[in-house]
Amino acid sequence: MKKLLFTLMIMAASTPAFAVDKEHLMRADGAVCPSCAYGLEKKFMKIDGVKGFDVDFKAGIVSICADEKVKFTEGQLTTLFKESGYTFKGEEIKDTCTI
Amino acid sequence: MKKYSILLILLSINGTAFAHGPIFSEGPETIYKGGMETHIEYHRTEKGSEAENELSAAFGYGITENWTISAELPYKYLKEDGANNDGLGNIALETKYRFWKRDALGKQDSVSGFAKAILDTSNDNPAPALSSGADYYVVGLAYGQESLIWQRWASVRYRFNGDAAGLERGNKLFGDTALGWRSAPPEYYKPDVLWVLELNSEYTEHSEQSGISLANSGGTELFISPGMYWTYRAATIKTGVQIPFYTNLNGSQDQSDYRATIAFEWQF
Repeated sequence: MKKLLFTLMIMAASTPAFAVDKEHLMRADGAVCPSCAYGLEKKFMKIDGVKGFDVDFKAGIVSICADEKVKFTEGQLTTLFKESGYTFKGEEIKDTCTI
Repeated sequence: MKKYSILLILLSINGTAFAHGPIFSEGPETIYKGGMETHIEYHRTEKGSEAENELSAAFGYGITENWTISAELPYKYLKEDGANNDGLGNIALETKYRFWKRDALGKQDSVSGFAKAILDTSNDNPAPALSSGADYYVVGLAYGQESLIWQRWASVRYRFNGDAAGLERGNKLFGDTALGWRSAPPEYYKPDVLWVLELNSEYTEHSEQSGISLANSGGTELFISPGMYWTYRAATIKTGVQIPFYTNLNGSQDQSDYRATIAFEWQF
């Protein structure tokens, strides 16, 4: 019994914290400079569960790392990007965060 | 007359610019919806025996992603022929609306219209005066094409110079083009350096008093204006200098020696 309990404790402790995080890769047109993208960072970081933000200007990709519970509709992302001065083109979700 | 020419110079360079855009003229850029931006700017002008130092604070707000309003209040220190004066200058209120935008991968084209009122709030008289005793109104259009390496801007502005003390001051037309360049595509968590080269033209109509055109007023000045932006996310430092390379002023007027500016901007 002790051995089982110990094994369960080890398993619980070794569960990686980022396992529940997902990376949202969003294609955005019009992103050309870091200071211009700051509004986008502010709007995303206000959302509960969003932990990280980055922009690859060359690829036109805005990335956020967020809890798996964070989900967006296309309409929400279109509005969020529009209010930041950009055009939303599409979203892809990855199981692990790299930012 | 000198008093008025100092004020005209100060008003001509008193542009409220936010984020990326030309340094000495207007760009089409606006603030994101709900965003706020402030800047502190130091500006120095030398023209013959006149020297002006101006420290101004500005605040802007994005009502929508296409509509920005802003206000600017300068503190001025003027020196002319041994006399000097300092104090709060005239408050400037501006609105800008971006009515056309085209986004592409790594590129954005846009056109904005803007209007500005510079109100005679300082109401100052002793020479050299901080105020001319009149309001000024500016309207204009600005175009910009920003990409990851190159930026191009062009604008045209017309300033209606208010009349005061029987003097009908000639209005002023500005035409500006600018080119920006950075050595490599920007990275979000690294400082971004952008070099800017502007060509600024200013044409001033003759002033009139009692219906008589004043000989020593009006004319044309052209400037070449190198400058740079250093930005890191929400923070921007920009600096530049305007150097006259062609001057054709009517009658006897002091020519501009140079105008220099440095500003710190912060988004929040």
